[in-house]
Amino acid sequence: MKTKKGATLVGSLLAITILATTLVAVLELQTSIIRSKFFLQYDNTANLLVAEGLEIVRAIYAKDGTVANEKYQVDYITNTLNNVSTCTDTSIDNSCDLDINSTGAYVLSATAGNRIFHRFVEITNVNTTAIPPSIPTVTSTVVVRNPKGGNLRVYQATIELYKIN
Amino acid sequence: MKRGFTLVELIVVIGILSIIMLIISQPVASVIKYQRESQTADNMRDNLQFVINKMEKELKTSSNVSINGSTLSFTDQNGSPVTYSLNNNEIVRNTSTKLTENTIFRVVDLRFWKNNTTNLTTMSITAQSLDNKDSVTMQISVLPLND
Repeated sequence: MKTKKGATLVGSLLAITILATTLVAVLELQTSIIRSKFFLQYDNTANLLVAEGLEIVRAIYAKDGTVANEKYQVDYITNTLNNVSTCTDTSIDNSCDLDINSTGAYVLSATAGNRIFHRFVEITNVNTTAIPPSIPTVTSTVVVRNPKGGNLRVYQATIELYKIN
Repeated sequence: MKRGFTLVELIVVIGILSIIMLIISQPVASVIKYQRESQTADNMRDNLQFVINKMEKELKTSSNVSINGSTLSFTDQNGSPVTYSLNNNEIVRNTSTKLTENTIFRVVDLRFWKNNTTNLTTMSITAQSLDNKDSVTMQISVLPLND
């Protein structure tokens, strides 16, 4: 009488591996879509906040006529530049966090916390003794972070500051 | 002689495959759902970005900027009066031209501020998707050149 053969160990392991890989791939796809969705939904706002940072410095420069090489925290209410050297695009310092206040605008966060947007502007190339005078450069940086953790996403733009007559 | 599969073996295999398909279909279904929601939210954000860019461009070359609640008024570079306001969850230019449609998404907040020290004019728009699952706030500040 001929005995019935079952599946071999190698065959079973292969089948299990293929199924497990499929499952992991599908779950991985789902996770990556959710993660990219988080950044995608703040993409436009971050770009606008970068542009706003530049505009705020332009407005203050138009008013004061002078700036200094430094890193600053800014919001639309700011009338003078307050330096804050601790803000960077790789490690978050809460003093540069932005939060929507009671009037509905993004302003510097009143309380320290894990905010989504973090913005600072950096002014360079100011040399008052240079002949001809150097043109100050301002770089606006917005860092978007997921409050649940994970990677940071950095948005940046640079302009030269010309005096408005 | 080689034997085929028995009915029991086939049923067991189909059963196992069904369970596996059921397990896999859950994440696949949620991926499709996320994609659909993302598409709607993308359209909302793109539309808002267009509106805010249009307002920013006009405001940059404007004069006589004034703000009254959620209404922004100014004179454009051609000397024509322009207003932007919120009406029935839609952004309206000069009370007649709709820049957004409340059948696609709802603009729930439109605000303007003017910093009297720096002359910086700030605008903020908050919109919500019709299913209330997505909300976005966009903000920009502009320094009008002729104000």
